[in-house]
Amino acid sequence: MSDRRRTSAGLIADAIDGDKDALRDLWREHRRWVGAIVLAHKPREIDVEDLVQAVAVQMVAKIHELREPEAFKPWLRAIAANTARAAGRRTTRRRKHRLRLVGTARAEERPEPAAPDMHEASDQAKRVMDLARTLPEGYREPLLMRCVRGMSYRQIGEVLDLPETTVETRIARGRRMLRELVQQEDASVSPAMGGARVEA
Amino acid sequence: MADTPNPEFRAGGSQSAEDLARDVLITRVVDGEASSADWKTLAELAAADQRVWAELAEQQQAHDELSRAVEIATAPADAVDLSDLDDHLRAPNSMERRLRIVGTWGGWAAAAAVALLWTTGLNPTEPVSDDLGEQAGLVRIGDSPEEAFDRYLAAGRADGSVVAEIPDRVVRSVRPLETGQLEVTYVRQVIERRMVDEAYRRALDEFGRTVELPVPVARPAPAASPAPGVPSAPLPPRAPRAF
Repeated sequence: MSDRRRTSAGLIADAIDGDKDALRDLWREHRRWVGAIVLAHKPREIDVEDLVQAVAVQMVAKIHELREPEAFKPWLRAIAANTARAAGRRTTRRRKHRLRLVGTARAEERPEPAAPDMHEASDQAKRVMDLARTLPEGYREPLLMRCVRGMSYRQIGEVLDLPETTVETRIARGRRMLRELVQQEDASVSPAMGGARVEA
Repeated sequence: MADTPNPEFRAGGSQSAEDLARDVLITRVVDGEASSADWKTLAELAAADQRVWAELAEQQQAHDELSRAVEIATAPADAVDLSDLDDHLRAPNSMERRLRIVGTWGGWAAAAAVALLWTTGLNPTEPVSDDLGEQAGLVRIGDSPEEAFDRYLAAGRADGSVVAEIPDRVVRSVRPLETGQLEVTYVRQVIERRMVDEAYRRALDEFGRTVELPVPVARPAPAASPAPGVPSAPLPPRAPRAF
């Protein structure tokens, strides 16, 4: 390990120079927030894992083109967002001409294990997450990143290339928007329930 | 962080500067970024308006729930490693890389139901114009439904799009009528064949909901020897994600 590897910037510089160990370490350090960016942009139909893998392929293939180490995080964020958006566009195009066949189970087929941990999230958590993903891009990205292992405002700002104060404000505004979305959804459900109530 | 003036307070929008300042204060507390000055301000606010505490509790709960969901949803990213980086870097072209990724989808045969891409250019969900069948010679004016159906079967067998009709008809309901007859509803089953470019399998997304995922189709190897390192069909079963 080179001396400069001890810093994050050194790790990036080594990876750009073609150091494979540095590249592996760099990826491990950043892949989780890459997952959050992908989550912020991906269509429902596509796995986070598959898109993150596609981002990793691009990072490995193109990192040598990066000139400035300090541009690494916004660069990787752009790759992640573009990869997820492109998957969304492809999905939309394919949906237009699709013939649906159902009930064609074959006896020798085995059920593919679903990601088991996903069921651990409560219904309310899933609902909040779904609504968070409908927020404008500028708000949902910092909001979701903040949920990744407590990324600090500074770390989020480095990825989004924004001042910390802007990150802070966007998170605050995003949370307010999210709260209003939850309240709107609750309000749209409650009239039907309230219809059965007998007024005294 | 907490004592830094925030230029975004002047950013406008529908939210007043006071409301935004309050939201930012609560956000700092929720995120563990509040300074002692922030706590003091929060206490002053709460002294004037007790709802601040309820708002704080609500925000904390929402953040915890969202964090839990995001943590779970992004956990698969940890499975994406560069452990076989050397192999990946040796891959001569993007197609080989793509095939390596596709190989991880080998478990697609587990699908219990698939949706197939319609390649003829005709969207089956769109209404067919009234004269389309007439133009194709498939349905003639005056045909009974039975005759029209038989004509469809015959035309389908001729062009290969119909393999056969399953003789058994599946009864769905039987209902006695006042006339003394029975009304029977049933399903007629026809085996059709289509050539498709792409297929989709049913799977569950990160929240256990059913979604359709594209299925890579293992294509037969060409007669000539394939490029070195490019796997020929069939692709291997789903493997740990690595390059």
